[in-house]
Amino acid sequence: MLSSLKSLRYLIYVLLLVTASCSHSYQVTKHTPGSVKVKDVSPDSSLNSLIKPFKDQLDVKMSELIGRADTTLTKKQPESTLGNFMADAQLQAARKIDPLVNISVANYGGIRISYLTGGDIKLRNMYELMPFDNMLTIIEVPGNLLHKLCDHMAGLGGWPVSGMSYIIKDKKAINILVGDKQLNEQANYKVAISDYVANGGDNCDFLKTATQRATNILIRDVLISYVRDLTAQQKPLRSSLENRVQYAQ
Amino acid sequence: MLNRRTFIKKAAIGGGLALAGGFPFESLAGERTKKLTILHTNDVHSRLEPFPMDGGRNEGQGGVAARAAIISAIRKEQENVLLLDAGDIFQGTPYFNMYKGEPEIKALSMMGYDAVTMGNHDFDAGVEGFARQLPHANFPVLTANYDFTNTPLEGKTIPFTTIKRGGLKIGIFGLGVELKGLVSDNYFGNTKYNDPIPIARRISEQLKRQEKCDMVICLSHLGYEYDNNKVSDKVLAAETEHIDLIIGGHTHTFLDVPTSLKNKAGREILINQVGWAGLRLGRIDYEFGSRKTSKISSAQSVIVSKQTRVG
Repeated sequence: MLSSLKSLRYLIYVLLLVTASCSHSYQVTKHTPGSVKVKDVSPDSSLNSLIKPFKDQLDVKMSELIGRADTTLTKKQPESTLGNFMADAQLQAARKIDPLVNISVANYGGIRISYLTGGDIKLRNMYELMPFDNMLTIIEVPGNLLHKLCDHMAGLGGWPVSGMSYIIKDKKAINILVGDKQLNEQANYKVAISDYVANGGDNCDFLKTATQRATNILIRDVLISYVRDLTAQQKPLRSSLENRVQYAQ
Repeated sequence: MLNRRTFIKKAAIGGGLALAGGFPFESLAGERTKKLTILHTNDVHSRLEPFPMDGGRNEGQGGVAARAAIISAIRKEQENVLLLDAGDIFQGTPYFNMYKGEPEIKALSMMGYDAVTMGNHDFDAGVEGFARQLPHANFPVLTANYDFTNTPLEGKTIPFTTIKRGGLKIGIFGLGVELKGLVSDNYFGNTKYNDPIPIARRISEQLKRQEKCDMVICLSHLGYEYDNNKVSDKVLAAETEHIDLIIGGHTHTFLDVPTSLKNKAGREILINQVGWAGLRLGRIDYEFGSRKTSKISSAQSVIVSKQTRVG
């Protein structure tokens, strides 16, 4: 009896060693969520000291007043005032380089703020709206490829455009108008677009075959110039919804 | 090993006899419970300062100085704290345009981050741009599914790390999103993206089994979920067995509480993500119990099974 008890204990011991040696010691028994908003707290002074020299230098540059928006511009799908402003600015800048540019397309994901508050527009706002160093590019595409681009935009819920319109139905683009004419699959179109998208960004690999004309102008600078030009003409930035992109009823 | 485990499990079910108690082995287990507070951010996008007071909905919120103050207060209350970031540290404010990530990385170091992973926008100054800021980092960059061979980041990131806090061992690894089509080719250069799922399976098993971690955390920049079959945190959760927590990013998803799911083995796994811009600090307070106690009951069930009686 005693020996069997001993061997039993030994066996337990061996088993414990084996199990202990091949596994961790603790396991999760409970978890409590506690995420907090970062606000209403007195800021840490060492972090403030760390960023101060960076901030001071930056503020001088970024607080420059470049214009005014008469209302708040917002980012939304399928069409938005912020998106239309970007697409319009691209088209205007591209036409200065090539007057035959037909249309402009901006990638929705490239709009990096959800709203531009009405009132003063500072240089900072344009950097936040378009922080990427993407360049304005003019591509020439056959109508069937433009149709494919429209389908792609429709599949993603609608991208901002200028000089054209389309309707989204079942994630496809229908009733595509360039100017006021139906898209012609056989015709060629010149499109103002970012080099990021022209080079296949946002899964636009199919655009890589298009003829490209680089401009070496940052899209951000295009936006800044557009606002500055308006200011020079004593006009505010104004953008409205024009049914450029709609969901089918 | 697996066979033996299966056997014990079956024997436990078959035997079904409860532990008689009072065995001396319980003392080996040490403390009964341990605590760990996990703090995390994602997609901070160069938001070093709070949002400006411009009447917008986020005005006055966020900023590294406010975040640091909250973190310090939590560290004073809690003994064991881990602070992690799930990528897209860079890009989104003029700080990045002007300084290319230097103040962002310095701020993370000063706040005492324990580990981060890389998001797609952390490639926005090119691979060499990220590498250039690494001397300012006092924390590891975890990237298990990017192969940086023949790039300026070769040898400068690691797939996983293990951290010991108050008697707990935590394994952490990082996963990044497919770069092609998302990041310009010239920015990611020779970086190779590998399928995250098999890598996550291998590393999480290694961390639990060989490294004997009490908890495995994945810092993921894959994105919370998609309406197509693209790999996401939800897919990752369902396809793996050894991850306890996925700290996510990329989709800028605000989760008020972590999402609780079942992993491939039917055990609980959490996913948490706190939007973007440092508007929130993610927090989960964990409690741990000894795993040995449950192992003892398995072992004793074996003892009352037929084989042992014969012996």
